[in-house]
Amino acid sequence: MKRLVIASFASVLLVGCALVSKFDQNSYNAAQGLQQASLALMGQRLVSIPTNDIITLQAQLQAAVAYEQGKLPANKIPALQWQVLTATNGDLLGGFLTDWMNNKPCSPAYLTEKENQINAGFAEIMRLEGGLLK
Amino acid sequence: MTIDWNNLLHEIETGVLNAAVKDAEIYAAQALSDAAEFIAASTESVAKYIGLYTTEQITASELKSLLLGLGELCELQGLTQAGLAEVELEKIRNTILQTLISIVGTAVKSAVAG
Repeated sequence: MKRLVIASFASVLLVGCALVSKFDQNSYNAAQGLQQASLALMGQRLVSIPTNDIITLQAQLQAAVAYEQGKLPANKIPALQWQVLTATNGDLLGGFLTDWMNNKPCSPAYLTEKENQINAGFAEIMRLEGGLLK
Repeated sequence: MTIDWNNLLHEIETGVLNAAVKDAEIYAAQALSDAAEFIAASTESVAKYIGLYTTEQITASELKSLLLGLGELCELQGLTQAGLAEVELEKIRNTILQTLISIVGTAVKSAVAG
């Protein structure tokens, strides 16, 4: 009976492994690169609508989301983070780029605060990725 | 080969519990500190957004977008904590497993030697 208890306990521990994905250098680099690219592009917000650059960035963001979704089911939480940050109907990067493409007016103070939010959003993604087991 | 099962189970119980509690306590303290820091920063942001609106530096629509953005940022922070908690759970699981293997291994070696 005691052997059974120990064996059961060990089995539970072993079966419960690999609930989260491992650290992925590609994911971390993508977040870092897209953070820099996004903030650099946002700096032009009050000057012009660089349509091609926005479309390129949107495509890169979609590729990053697809890459994270490709690691499901273990990568569920990071994939969800990317979705929140890039949602075109949201109020972080995805929504900001949509508004920009639609030529929605924007004040300098708003732009500064939105840049801070988007910067912090990428930082959260990198904080989680950096905290995953190597 | 004889093994003192009562003693072994007691050692496992104590060893596993100590390992798990120690890791969990360290993580919980860090998580609480992160949450408190985020709440303080968010409160400060809301006050700043309201200030910008009342001084007409941003429009009502922009205020709304900033508040909704802050909410989404809060969601991202919550997801980070949830992910890190899962990682911590896995670390604790690994610690327990190592403790278990070590205790059982020692008991088997002693029994074989005896």
